[in-house]
Amino acid sequence: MDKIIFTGPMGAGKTTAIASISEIPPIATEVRCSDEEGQARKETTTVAMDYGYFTLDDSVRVHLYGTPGQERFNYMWTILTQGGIGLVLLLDNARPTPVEDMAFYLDAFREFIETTGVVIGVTRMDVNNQFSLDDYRDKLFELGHIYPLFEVDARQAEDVKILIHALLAILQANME
Amino acid sequence: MHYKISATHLSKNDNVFFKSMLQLIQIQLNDTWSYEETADIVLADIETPLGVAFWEESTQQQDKLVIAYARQNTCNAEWFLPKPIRVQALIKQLNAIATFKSTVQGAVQTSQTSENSPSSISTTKANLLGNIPNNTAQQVKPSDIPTNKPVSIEYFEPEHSLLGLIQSTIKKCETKCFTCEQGETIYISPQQKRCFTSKINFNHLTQKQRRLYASVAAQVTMTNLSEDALHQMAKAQGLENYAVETLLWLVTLCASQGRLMAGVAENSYVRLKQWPNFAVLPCQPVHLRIAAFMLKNATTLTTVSEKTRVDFSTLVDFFNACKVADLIVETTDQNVSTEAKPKSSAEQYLFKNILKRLSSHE
Repeated sequence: MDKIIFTGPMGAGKTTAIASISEIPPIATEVRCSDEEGQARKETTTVAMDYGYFTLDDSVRVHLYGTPGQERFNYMWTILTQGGIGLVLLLDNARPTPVEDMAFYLDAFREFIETTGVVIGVTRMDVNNQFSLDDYRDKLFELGHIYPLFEVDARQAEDVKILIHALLAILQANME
Repeated sequence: MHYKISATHLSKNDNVFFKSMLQLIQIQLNDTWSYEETADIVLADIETPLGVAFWEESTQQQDKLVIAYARQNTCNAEWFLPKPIRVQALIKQLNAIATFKSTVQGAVQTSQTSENSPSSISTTKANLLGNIPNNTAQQVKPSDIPTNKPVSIEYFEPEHSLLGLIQSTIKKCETKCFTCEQGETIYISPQQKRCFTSKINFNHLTQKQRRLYASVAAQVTMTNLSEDALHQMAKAQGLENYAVETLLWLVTLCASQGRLMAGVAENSYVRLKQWPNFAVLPCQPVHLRIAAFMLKNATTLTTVSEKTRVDFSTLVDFFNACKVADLIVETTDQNVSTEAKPKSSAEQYLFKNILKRLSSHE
């Protein structure tokens, strides 16, 4: 099964990103937020996964899976990444420590990233510009990574496509 | 500008194909091109004895600019179009010729300006600001435009193009308006780090936009204006605003025309410092491919071109844009990654199909 995984903290725009390029309305497993942060940020959150897909010319489907944002559902992360093509990490710049969020998710998905690739999209920079892309780059440099990093609007299909283009470009470069 | 081109000694099919393609690509050309029976720019098939004789004679007499058309550039022709005619190659060749022509023309104008009128610069439009009070506008000083050094057609020299003028404006933190004859108008506010202009469709620049972006410095008219005047103008004309980085990137892609930036050796080892921020820097899928490779490998541009299978002039344009954005690192050692996974044809096929699918729905 050919699948691309979308991950990141709650509210980063994973469900929205999948919706923007999926041929079908994403199948979501959303429930009302039960924790304080969640209630303050959004009404519902994904608890198992989001799912969408797009179809290629040869009728092959590329499946789009979104992981649940909350850490307590992290047992789903390993299950969902199995057989994945690569990872799209979305980060919410309006969260208190988005740069640390990035480090956390890169570590949590380290094995998957090492065997495939990752591309990072930072959302909601218009809402809160406390951190710039340079802050994320500095952290990546500190961690010894040079990953594609973009400011994106998860609602814009073009932005999500750029992320996937970049992901495929690094996967192809790894195979040169 | 309007250029006329003719063709000689082409096969009937090639001739028809060339004429049709010339019409089809008009929107992607920086200038207007029309086919004429006789013209000073000629496409000659040098695989025919008469064609090669024509090319040799014209080259000696230097009365015409002849584009050699053949499978291989056996004559080492300066202007060469490979057979069969392909859209991108033709666009690049015609845009490069237009740049060459305007560069030569610009150099002549510049020379005349500095000889005849040292205290003024060419300003083709009397008052760019329309109904804005005259006291907010001020013609730029001649020292703002580099005039004495000859313009190179071999290398891309930002200081002799619109790019250099914009960079100088940003450095001096001056709010200015830039335009050229039959070209777009842009307003730069270094203070806001924004530029104001009519809407830019990054995938399809208009001829007016291409014409301005590819202009040599001497063709550009600059006018100083205040921030207030700029706001009035932007509001009155309903202009869009873009990050200055976006404009610098676009202008470099348009103006470099496959010419490597002056001062960069073709055989130096280069790599990308970081991913270009494609959220604000318009990109094509081919740019992502180059970026992915150049991040992992420090090598010559020739090797990058071979490994990524991207034509050299496209690579050079991208390289120049990255150089302007300060994303290029030059190293003394070549470092081509050997950690690559073996090629999987199934994966390659899948990736290609995904890219095709995403592109087809743009």
